[in-house]
Amino acid sequence: MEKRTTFRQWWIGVAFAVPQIVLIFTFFYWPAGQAVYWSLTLQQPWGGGNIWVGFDNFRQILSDPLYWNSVVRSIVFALVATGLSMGIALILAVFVDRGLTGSRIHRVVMIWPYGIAAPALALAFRFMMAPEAGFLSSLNRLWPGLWDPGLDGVDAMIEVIVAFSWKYVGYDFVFFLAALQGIPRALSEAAALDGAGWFRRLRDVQLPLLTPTVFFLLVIDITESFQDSFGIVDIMTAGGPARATELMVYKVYFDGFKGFDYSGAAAQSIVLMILIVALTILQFRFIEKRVHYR
Amino acid sequence: MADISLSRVAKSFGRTTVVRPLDLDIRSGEFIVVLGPSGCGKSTLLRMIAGLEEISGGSISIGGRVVDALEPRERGCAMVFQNYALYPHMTVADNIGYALKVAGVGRTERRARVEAVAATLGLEGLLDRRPAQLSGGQRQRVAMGRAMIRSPQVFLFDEPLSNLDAKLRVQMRIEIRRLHDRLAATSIFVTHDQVEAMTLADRIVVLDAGRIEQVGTPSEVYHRPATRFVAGFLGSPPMNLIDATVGSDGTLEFADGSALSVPGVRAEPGRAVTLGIRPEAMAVGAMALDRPVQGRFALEFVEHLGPTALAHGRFADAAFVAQVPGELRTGATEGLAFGCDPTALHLFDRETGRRIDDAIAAGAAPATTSVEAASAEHH
Amino acid sequence: MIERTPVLDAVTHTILALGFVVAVAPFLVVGIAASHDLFHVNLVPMPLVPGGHFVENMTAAWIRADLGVKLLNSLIFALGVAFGKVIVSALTAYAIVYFRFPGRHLLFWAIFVTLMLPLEVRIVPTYAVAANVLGPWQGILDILGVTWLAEHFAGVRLDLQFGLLNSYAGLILPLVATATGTFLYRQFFLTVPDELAEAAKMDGAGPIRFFFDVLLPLSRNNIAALATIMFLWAWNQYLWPLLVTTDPSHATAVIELKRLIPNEGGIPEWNIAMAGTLIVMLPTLLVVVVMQRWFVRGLVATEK
Repeated sequence: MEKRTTFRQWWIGVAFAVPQIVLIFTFFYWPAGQAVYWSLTLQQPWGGGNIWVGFDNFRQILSDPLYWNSVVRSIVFALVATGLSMGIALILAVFVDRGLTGSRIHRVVMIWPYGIAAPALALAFRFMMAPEAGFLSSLNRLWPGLWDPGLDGVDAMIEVIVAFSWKYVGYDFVFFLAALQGIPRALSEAAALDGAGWFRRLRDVQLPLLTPTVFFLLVIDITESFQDSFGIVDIMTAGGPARATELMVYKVYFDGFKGFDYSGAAAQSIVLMILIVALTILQFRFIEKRVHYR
Repeated sequence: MADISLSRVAKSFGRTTVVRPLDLDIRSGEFIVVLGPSGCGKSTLLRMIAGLEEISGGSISIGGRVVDALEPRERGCAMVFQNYALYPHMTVADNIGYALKVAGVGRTERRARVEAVAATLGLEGLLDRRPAQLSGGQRQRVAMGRAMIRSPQVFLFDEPLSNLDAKLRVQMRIEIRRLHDRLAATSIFVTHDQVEAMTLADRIVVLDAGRIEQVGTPSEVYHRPATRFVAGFLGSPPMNLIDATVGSDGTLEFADGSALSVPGVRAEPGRAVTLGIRPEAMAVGAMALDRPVQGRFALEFVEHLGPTALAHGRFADAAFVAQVPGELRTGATEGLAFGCDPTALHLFDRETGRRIDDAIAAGAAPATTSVEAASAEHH
Repeated sequence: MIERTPVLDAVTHTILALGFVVAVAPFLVVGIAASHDLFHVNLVPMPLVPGGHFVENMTAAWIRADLGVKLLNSLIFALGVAFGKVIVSALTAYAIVYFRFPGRHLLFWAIFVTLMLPLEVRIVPTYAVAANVLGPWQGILDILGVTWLAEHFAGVRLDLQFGLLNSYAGLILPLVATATGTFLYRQFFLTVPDELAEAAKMDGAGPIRFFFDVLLPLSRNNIAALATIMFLWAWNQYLWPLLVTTDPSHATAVIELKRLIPNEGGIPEWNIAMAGTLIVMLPTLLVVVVMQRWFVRGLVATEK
């Protein structure tokens, strides 16, 4: 879409864009380019020369089982957390959309979790799900040793997934509800006159029209699970136990800033970037076109 | 006050030509209405005069000064937009006074001038409201006030009445004309509504497909349409237009073999023409019998409008409408006689669409035998 | 629509009540835990009747994590990002929508791409830039050969150094350098009728007047929505402040939570940890509650 009316003094336009250009060059394009450069060279941290090594860094991380471990963990985390939060959010949105008494309060409250900083909720959940205090520890009273995210990798993964999903239910809920309320009432009413009950209407009319939102949230949630998980992991498990919750961004941070392996961290960043760009392109090119009914 | 002169002015967007090179001279103080169907380039023409659109060719001068390279604000024009384009976040007073604020006029003087303009438009009590709190007619007035405040040399109106309901439209039309007469600025008014054009204009410019079809007073445009397009565009219901060939013996012959005897036809025999007859220029039934030109058309149905009625049917295999007295009640299915004076007929060249001037001599003797028109049963 | 669905209504109420409990429970638990003493907070399960040590725990957390300074830092940081975004994005969107300058499409896409890659995935090199923000510009000079020329002919060694670590600028600027807000404004500007700009032109207003007199006032709703979203987003940032603020005096409240994680060994002081958590999440919770309308609007709009 383009404006019919524009201003002739184009240099003023350029001047208006300068702050953004300077910022994105300095803090986006240069670092992104730098990451590519580092990933192809071997660099001593802060100073010293860098040696051109081609794709060696990539070869190295791709042959590192620890790296693959973080990839697998990230995928598990992304899929389970996304599925969980989207599923719950969809159910809640569908019921709130019925507009019974009290749904107004739900609309307000369901969004609160998304306003909370990931590390803060991580600390809260760490307490609630602690093996020796809080609430889940009750399980250990009945079956000693059943629940211990500090020692058991699966328990730790469950813990971070629950914390993340709790936050993103609120986020997904906003979008599902907005989409549901964007569906013209007349459609549901027409279906009701056709004799369709509530569930049939939901299945035949509303859910199909929600497909674009589902795919949109799928991509957003997966992308967010790469980023927003960092605070949760760092506070709850610090990647442990035994790297069971070492997600990709966490490993980049760990290798880059704790291990001072900039080249390896850069290579990992590049892989991560490619992944996210691919997801975004998938969303724009493929899914958007397929599932829009207009 | 300023006269406006357009010389070979043209506009194209990429490959599409919107306005073909045209010339137009507007006298100072004149009220010009540019009339045409949507997409004919009339708004573009107006916007080029305003300086909102660059011209692709030619030259525009306002008050003797070439304005081609000037910005809108330097041209001394004010404009009333179709959707009024009021600033939604400003009060009525701020909307009207914005141009003065930009020009650096002080607060007190601004307020005084805004109040003066508001008084002429009957907006005194509304100055502190926002556009959203106004009715359509009031918004229209604010838009006018905003145009008036700078005492411009030229007023430009871009279909300003099209968003109003029918009753308000009539009222605002009168008000606009009254304001024009008092302010004595040059006005250019763009519309697709022929009633607005007929009632407002000193002269009408009929535009079609980026080309001027005719420039003339409302009366000229109605009574002597210069082209087939103008003939069909002005008038309600529109003029009946039927393709015909000029016969050798004072007749017009039609494609279905029927003919109409027209006393005084001067066009050379064999020429392909289009015959035009206004529905309101005809008499029907018994009243048709004493008219020099007589025909018969197949009646299909009658639309009653109160004082008058419209008889719809077919003549020479084409749709045909005649305006008849409102009390006409007829069960005639075999056909209805119609008649008119030869001067009520218009002939247009079928190739060029241009009017054939003096095609029919005025005051020709009434014909005696003339009814040869086909009726529907023959088909 | 008239529909009698008693069973469905009961199911609806049950599910929504459950959802309500799940959404609210963590807030309550944090609040209650913050009111217990060390013994009660470690009971299994923790008693849900609040204890009487709320103020005491809050004070302890406040002092231990130095939250006064940290909350102020967070506030400056979040406000800085929100204002920076609101201003920079509006300017850029205006340039993209209302002007036709050479390279406009290139700029559009250059900004669009930044939507895709969040800070977290390019964290290492961005950190290096923050360590010396003039590095990229030095790089440009090096590539262009200006450095070499200066050294050889003027005898001057160009070495641009300006660190942003442990500064508000270092915290704020990299987070402003993405496109979220730009596209929000762009979408809005595109819906502003062309006639408004034309009317402004007829009234004699140039581009700068139009921007400040007409476009910005019209954008109030969008500004509020964007500012809300960006404030929350910045306040909740963790990784970036963690890296940039090596000096604790510049740390934000959120990263201080790490200091409140109970140590291994000894009885964990969950009551104090939860008191700290409460303090850190209250401001954002308050913003969400007060600015709910803008928050939801901004969420839906920024992602489109």
